[in-house]
Amino acid sequence: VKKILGVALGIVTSIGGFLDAGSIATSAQAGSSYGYSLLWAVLVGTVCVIFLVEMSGRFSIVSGHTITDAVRKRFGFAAFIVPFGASLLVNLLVLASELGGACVALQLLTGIRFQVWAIPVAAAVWLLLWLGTFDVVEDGTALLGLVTLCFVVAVFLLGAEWREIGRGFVPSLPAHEQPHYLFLAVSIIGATIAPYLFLFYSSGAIEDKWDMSYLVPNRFIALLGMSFGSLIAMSVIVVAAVTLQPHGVRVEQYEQAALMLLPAFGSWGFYLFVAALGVACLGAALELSLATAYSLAQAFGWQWGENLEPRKAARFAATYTLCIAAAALILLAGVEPMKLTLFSMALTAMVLPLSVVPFLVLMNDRQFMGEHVNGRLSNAVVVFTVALAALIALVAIPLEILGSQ
Amino acid sequence: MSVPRTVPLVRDVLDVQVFDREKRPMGKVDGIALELADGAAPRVAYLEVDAASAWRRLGERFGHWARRAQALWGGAPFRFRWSQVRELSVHLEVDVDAEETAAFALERRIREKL
Repeated sequence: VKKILGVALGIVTSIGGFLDAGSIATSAQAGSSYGYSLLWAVLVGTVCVIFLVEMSGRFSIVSGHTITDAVRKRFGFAAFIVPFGASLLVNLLVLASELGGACVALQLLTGIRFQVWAIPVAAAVWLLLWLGTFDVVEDGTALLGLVTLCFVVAVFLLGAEWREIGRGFVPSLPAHEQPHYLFLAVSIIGATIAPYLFLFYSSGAIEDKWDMSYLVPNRFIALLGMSFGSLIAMSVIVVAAVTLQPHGVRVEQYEQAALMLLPAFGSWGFYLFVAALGVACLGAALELSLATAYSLAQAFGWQWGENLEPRKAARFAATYTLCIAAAALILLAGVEPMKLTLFSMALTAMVLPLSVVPFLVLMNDRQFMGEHVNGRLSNAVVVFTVALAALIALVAIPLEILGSQ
Repeated sequence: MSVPRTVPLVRDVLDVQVFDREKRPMGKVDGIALELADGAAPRVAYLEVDAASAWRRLGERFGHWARRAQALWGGAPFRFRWSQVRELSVHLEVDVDAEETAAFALERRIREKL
């Protein structure tokens, strides 16, 4: 019974924790600009992330290693450190965008500029990590994150056209603004397959001491948690397509996105959006700060663990403190949060191979995985998606930069 | 009589996680040095936990910068002999107290500030 409850909680936390600044921003802009036509990108990203999350749990259960620790051991420091450094830098940008999302939620509520909130929000994230335990961070914020289900409810209240929604799952290029469409497609895939998600999941499996009896529950958590979670991201696209696109509102800033729930919930829709944005971004900022500190500590072999007092893992605690401070500085510099989010998501897609390819090699290495190595389907799905996302990103990011000048 | 065991140093020892006798993570095996003497087979002189040694594997200049950074908190290489290794599996356990070694210099320095 305890294990079933654990699996149920794992699924619920995956759903509640799925949405973050990246998913909200990319989905809102996709729905308002191109209707349902980018739903396929969420689907492609979701199928891939289901495989990656299941693989990361299986890897930690079978090998007893976290991914970062094992990649360094398998490839050696010299081959490991440069791609690792690039992924850390992108993580830092994503962390800034999550803090930015939480700050914008407070700006929407109070009217006070988001930069003013950068330090209080960063301090709140830091304090929760400093004082909290792993369960508080993971379960607490994800349970609060269930408020994001309001987007799913809105889809039913608004009476969306299901046949049109179905067509959105077939990839197609629009007649206008194709470079921006491709840029949004990779940003959505980057937001869905965020590497911090599976690095965090792998560290969590070690932190929660998962043994071989968790192999099957791990599959259920990955499949159900990620599938239901992605339904929320799809719902944001649908709601934005139904409520914003017909009025010619193209989401360039969170303030415009905040209008999307009004037709479904009246004035409460505004507060629901603010709560969903704030909680989702706060939860993601906590996970990202931890995931970055986990990675660095595991790369250099330091003591790590959110359940340890900061004094007992001083370098680990110092790492997340510095990451949060650096991310707050990016916001204080005045970078527009929505733009920062979209670019950091596209960059995430571009550097995905740096995290995923070494991980795939490990998943096929019998020295680590024994008889639990990957099957052909897992390898094929992940290689196809990551290669596709990286190639589109390589083309779309320069075009987007040129187009915005 | 036990059967001699062959250990591939680069595959199974280099970059492996090091724990002390209390199972505290100390760092990684960042370097391995062999002792070469005339007429004798090479033998492992020492293994080391030393971030600067790891960075040197990327290039001399990186190693130099890392050593200078290390000097800021009084860090130094922590070297140990093979005879101090208690266990070698997916990790390596050394018969020392991590708190008393140079591998914990930065940890101690940060802890003092908390």
